[in-house]
Amino acid sequence: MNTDTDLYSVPIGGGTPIRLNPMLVAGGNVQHDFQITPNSLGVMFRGDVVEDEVVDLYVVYMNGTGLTPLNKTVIPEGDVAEFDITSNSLGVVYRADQEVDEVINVYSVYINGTNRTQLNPLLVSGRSVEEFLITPNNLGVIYSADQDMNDVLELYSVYINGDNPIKLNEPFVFWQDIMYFRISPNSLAVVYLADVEEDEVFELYVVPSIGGASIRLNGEILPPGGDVMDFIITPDNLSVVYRCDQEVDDKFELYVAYDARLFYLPVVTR
Amino acid sequence: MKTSIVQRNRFYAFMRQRGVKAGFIATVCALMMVSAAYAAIVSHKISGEMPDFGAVNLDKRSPDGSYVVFTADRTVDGRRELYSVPTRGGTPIQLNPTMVYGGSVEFFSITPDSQRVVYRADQEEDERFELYSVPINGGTAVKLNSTLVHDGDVIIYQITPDSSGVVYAADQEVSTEDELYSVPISGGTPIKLSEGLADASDVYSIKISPNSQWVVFEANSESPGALELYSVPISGGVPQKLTTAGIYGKPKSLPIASMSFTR
Repeated sequence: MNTDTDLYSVPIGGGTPIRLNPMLVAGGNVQHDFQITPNSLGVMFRGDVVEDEVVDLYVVYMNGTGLTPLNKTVIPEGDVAEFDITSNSLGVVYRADQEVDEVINVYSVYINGTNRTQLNPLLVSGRSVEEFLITPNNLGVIYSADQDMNDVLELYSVYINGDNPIKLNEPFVFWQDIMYFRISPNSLAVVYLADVEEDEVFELYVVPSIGGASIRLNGEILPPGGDVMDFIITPDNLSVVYRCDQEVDDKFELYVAYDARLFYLPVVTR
Repeated sequence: MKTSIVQRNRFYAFMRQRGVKAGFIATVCALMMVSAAYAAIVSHKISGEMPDFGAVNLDKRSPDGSYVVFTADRTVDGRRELYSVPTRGGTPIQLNPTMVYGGSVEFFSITPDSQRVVYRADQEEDERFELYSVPINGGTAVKLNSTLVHDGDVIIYQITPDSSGVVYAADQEVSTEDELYSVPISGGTPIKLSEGLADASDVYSIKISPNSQWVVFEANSESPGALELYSVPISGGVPQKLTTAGIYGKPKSLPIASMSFTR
């Protein structure tokens, strides 16, 4: 039985579907996380096209022409794990273990496949880039990785061309971790959850995306068992709304944090 | 205002005479920087006071950032009701009317224009989930679906990108047969969009085109185990099958995130 999954485009009002991927190797598949470029000209997809279980990243025009591989040929057992397209459709950022099996790095590449750049420094075996986000202005990439200490996720910022890499959090010790982060719509701030004060008590911090001092946003040190569960940055970049059991353990309520003196987050003043 | 300008000009003239204008500006800048460095972060609760059993279950902010909408059991333990509050704080407003015993708001979405909240709830009959729309700052919640058959439910929905309407799937006319409808955001007569599909077929997922003109959906119209992809104008019409036999018609379920559109 044929179990391959191919990728097609079809006019929305009906017509003949066009297959976008080339013939797949036996057992090959196109993954479900394909994306249309914001300018609607192409489609980007991951798939084990050439070799079964080796997932590469491709871009192809909507009419099926111009198929271009975007990652460096991955090692046997290597995979492209995740990708995102810049909002101007000019570039792609992806995570892959294309150099050493299970060591996942983050890369940027032009959408035509040129100027591929590794954004994080060389990682030793067992370490990986865990998550990345492209800044809304397409100039930078923020990522979490256990880059400096095994199994300790920290937060890093780098220009999308690989310049100016910096760590955003104060250096962590073995029990501290970044849990989750988001970039403000104006690209100036990174808001993150981390257990900085106490192991497994996740609190909310903001730091300038180009580096600087982190400031805790939840007002008080949380009670035992307390956690900031999730947060959203308001579109005006002025405040952060977060859900937290700040007063009673497991009683989650909504809070807003902002800079009362300046009436906006401190990072925005830079 | 005029007096203030005159005073300011006199002040600058004075400063220029003293030759300290540049120093003054530098001082102000330095003060601003110091102020930024020692920002006074304020954090305060916006979900209001809650009883001991109460907790916020789910929250979203309006796209324009002016409101936070959340569900919480603020009145009855375990009954999730819908509230909105200005982002910088205020008194939360309950958006849903009084609910039946056992009722809850299960899920909600905010329109892209930040004007309304659409939610799915069993607020009139326990375990009968229907679709409602309410202004984000409070007001009358309008039911969007037509009267449902016995055991009928609204299953899934999506708001149009232009905020003008909602597309939903429900077993509205025949129990266990999920069909597709579109309806204006503030209520009206739903238009059936899955007209012409075989009896007993079900709509599984919905996606609306970015221009709000088309609805693409998955349904098993031709064979119970095979999902096919269809498109239909949001204003109504005959669904057009987009897939061809042997391409998409394999027994599988494709997540809605896998369906994309060109703009």
